[in-house]
Amino acid sequence: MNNYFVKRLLYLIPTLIGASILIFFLYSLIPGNFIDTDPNLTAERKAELYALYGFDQPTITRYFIWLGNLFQGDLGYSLQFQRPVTEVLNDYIWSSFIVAFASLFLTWGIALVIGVISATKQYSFFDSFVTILVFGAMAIPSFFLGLIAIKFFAVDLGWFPAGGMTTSGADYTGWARIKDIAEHMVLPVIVLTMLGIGGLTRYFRTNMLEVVKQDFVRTARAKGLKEKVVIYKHALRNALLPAITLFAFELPALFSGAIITEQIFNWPGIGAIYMQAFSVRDYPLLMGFTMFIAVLTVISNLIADILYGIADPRVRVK
Amino acid sequence: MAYSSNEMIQSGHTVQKSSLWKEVLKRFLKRKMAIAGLLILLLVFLFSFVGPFFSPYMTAGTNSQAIHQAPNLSHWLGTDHLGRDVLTRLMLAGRISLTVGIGAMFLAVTIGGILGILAGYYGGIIDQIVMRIADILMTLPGLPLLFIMAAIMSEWQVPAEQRLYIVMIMLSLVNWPSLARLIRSQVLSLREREFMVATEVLGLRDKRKVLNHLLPNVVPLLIVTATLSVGGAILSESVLSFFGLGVVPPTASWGNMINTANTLIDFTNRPWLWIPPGVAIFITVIAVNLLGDGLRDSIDPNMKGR
Amino acid sequence: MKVPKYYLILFTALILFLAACNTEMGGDEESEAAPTEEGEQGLDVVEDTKIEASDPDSSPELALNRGNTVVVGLQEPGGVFTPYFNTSGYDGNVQSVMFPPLVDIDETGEPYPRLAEDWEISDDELTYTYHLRDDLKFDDGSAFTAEDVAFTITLLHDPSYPGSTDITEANVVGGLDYKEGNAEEIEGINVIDDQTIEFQLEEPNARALTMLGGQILSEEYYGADYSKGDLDYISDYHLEPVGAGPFKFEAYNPGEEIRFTSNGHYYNGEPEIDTFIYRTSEGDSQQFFQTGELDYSTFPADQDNFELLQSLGYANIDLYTSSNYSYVAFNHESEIFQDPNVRIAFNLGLDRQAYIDTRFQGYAELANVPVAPVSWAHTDEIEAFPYDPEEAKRLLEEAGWEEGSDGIREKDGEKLRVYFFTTDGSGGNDIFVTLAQENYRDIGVDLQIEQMDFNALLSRVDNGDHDLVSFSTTMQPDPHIGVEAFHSEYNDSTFRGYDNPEVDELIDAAVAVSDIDERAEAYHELYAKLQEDPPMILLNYNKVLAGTNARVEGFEPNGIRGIAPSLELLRIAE
Repeated sequence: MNNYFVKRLLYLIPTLIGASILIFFLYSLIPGNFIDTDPNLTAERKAELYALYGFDQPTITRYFIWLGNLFQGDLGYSLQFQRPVTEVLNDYIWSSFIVAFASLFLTWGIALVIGVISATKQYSFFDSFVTILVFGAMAIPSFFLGLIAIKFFAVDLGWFPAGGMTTSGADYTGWARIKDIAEHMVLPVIVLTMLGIGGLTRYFRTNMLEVVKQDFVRTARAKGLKEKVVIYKHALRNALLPAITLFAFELPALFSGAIITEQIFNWPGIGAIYMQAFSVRDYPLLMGFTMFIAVLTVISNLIADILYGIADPRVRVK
Repeated sequence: MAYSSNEMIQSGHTVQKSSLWKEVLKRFLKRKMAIAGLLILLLVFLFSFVGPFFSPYMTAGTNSQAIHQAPNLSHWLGTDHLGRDVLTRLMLAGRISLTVGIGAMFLAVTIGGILGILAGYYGGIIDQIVMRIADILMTLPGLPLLFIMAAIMSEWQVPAEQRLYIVMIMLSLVNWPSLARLIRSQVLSLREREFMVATEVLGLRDKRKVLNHLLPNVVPLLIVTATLSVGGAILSESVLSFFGLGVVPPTASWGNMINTANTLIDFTNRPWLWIPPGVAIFITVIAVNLLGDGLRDSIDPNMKGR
Repeated sequence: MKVPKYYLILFTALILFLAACNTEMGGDEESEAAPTEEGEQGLDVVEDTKIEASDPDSSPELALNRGNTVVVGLQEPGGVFTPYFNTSGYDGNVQSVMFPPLVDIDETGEPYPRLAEDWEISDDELTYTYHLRDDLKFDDGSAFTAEDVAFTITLLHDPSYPGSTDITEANVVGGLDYKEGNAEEIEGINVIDDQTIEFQLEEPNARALTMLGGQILSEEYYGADYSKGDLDYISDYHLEPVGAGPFKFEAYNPGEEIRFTSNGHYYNGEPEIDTFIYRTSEGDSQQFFQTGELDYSTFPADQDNFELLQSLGYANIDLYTSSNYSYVAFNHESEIFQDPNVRIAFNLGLDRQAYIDTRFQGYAELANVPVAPVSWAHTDEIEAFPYDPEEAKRLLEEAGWEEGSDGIREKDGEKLRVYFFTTDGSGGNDIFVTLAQENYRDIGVDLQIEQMDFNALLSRVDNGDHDLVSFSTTMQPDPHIGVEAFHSEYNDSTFRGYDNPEVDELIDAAVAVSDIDERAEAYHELYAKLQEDPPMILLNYNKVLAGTNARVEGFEPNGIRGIAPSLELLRIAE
């Protein structure tokens, strides 16, 4: 087991280094620079500013400077916000987090329930209905769903706010503030959940179906156990096991911000900030954030692998 | 023994193959949902590629007398802010979205397929390199990666009509890693199967083993994955167009039709501008997914999901 | 095994077939322009107007209950609230609440006193003297004196100043020595007493008045750690600004709002409104006006939005002309545009009125000169280029561009293919692009559209990849800003390669004197000259449609300074 863990850990390093190289050089290929954002600058002023920020150095040098900073935990200095990238991330990432977390909770909860029931009642009306719903949910473009949600629930019916995280001008504190944010969260969370639920439901359903066909379930039934016990005590546990590894993959999504959803709902999350930073080419912020997500992704892969190794001993042998 | 051992394996394989496909077809025809998907898809194709020929507005340009019309008898889906017929644009946009979807899928499956097979079959260094690259690409979040590529490629001076090839390339570059992984694991498990061991024993050359024996067994998975990824490609194209990174106006695609109706007024008062393209994407992707799902179930009823 | 090859061929054929269909049809789609039957002059321009709310009580509850607080929408700023150090224009909006200048500009572009109650310009225009008001204070209570003015101007000359303001344009004596040399102080800055400061210039420049009399930073606050060459410390202050405006900074919640409270030390008296809030969002915030979360919002000026505002009975509507305008710039280093007649042809061959009518439905005006109608420099005497495709064709023929077999002109074997760069603007951008393509095809030009985001556009324009590029100006406080780029010595990427000595002379002359009437005349001469050698294709002047919730009175936005001057006058109605 330790061997496996250590091997996987070692794999991390070249992957991360490779990711950092890819990130840095991809961003350096993008036309445009932060300084170019101001079209009124004269060429001399531009040259002065380039030198001031160190953009006139060769790319390789800049890469190593950046990498060196990364090792010290310094993600860089945002050109636009004039603050360290870590500070900027900290400001905005938590609003993305609460939406992602709420949606994660709902998505998994609903997918689990529906998937399992659907599997136990295979080919029933419920199953077909759910299949159609699931296919539907997977087929809608995210921004379209968001727009429809806003149109019907916010503009036409007025049940929920049309966007933003809080109501301005109103000075809410404590419970009132939490309620305010929660109200604003409803639509984005619903949209995110609907988008994610399709794949997951089918996954649980397929897993469940597979497990139910297996011998040990037949044995349990043969033993005369009640169907409910067979399903929920024996089958479910085995069906859920691989799902644990899937859960680990959700980690990056919790922090990466739903770019499209935040755009549509005017939600002040890190995804929205990314878009904006992209349009002004605030490279330190962009690279710092992308690297952060890459690290999270790699870590989550590692956790998933480890969990999978724990769950399924056969894997460890390889 | 009139045949050489090669021919024996080959002919035996052929016989096995054609009855296999017949089986697949039989199973497929039994699945109503899959057939529904196929039919809907055919309809969408006809709508987009043949439909415009029936429209009186196919070559019409802008008409400032007819802007902002709600659906009426002469314009079944109304007109947009340049006076163009929305229904015709919907059809023409379908061509773009479908072409990009299929093209992107094709490229991604080709790249991912080839690399996956090579990695799975040869193992060793090749496997390490390919998987390493795929891993690294996959650590980057998808949408930002698309934006980055769009920005980089915007520097290449591409005439407007060929813009869709750029979009196809972008989408395939983002999607090939997961495809490669999938194919690779399939190849890995196939490699240990008896028929492959047999080819080893027979001393067949690599190229033969891969092309004539390995590939045919990977093709079903490829077909299924390919079909399912078309839906994803169409959705991604619409997202790109929504952000202005896809095809350029005046060319229409379903994504940028939704985008041009992004002002408050159009959004609330002129739903005929943005709801039809959204519904079109929705129907097409559902159909594609139903088809792919049906194919998967027909080709191997025991095949697991993902 | 033929199976895999079969699929390969099938798919390839399919793709090629589909792609071929697309490319053919894509071209044909926009070949014929439908005839337009509007009047000769196009739609009448809607006059600037103010309309009172018809039913103020219909305002959403949220707004009615807000009390003595006013909320205005703003796009998310960069978070740099120190004047002169920001790149985002939205930071500028935030700063304007707290940092009034010494000398401000009114709605026609003429200067009026703000923190400086008076000023003198010597006859040779080389000495500028500002007299500050009595008892000026910063919002933290500390005294505002001429020392602060000296500090600010010195700071701007600092070699490590990273912002975009180029103070050397004002030509202060000794400024360059400080910036590039070893001087420890700037010679040309003289603090005469607490309320008087004098600047000596090397050369006259009409813009010096507002450049030197701009927003002022407190030396005590912003200059405590200042030593020449080291400005890093300033970023610590960006989120805690101290100014002297009607409101002072209270709090900043990123992604939500920036909150200000009324400043008791303000020279013009403490405002009636207790709290002013900029509600920030990433994109458009107009829907928040409808829900009552905003008291004031601006909308793109067109018929749709006008009707929308009218339907909201609680909105006071203010339609005013902005000081910015839109244009299409030529790449003057491109072979095609070396000949001024070709550029004139491009001006004549574009039906700008039709574009404006379709897109703005009367809510924008065709531009004839590169300055907005609100400015004192504007004149109606110079006619805008008419839409005259026949003349355009004739000029192109004369220039050697002969019509080819496919309708596109050719010269020396090269087709007249022109690359037009644009960003993905909201809504109307595709209107322009589509119409332009049609118009130009008519006169034998193949217009290729390239769309990219703004930053990429700027970078590629810098490289000279384009032939045509569309831009909108920012708000123009001075007419010089609209033409300075045409000067051959101005190293700006957009108009690089444009070199007309007569134009140079006229530009210099117009900024060498301070007298408004003299300058206006000079500009008129300049504009006439530009018609003969057009550096750009002018499109339209922009109007702004502002909606205010009737419960708030006092908003008087203008095309040059927006709502900044109105803030201290806001009050809640009834």
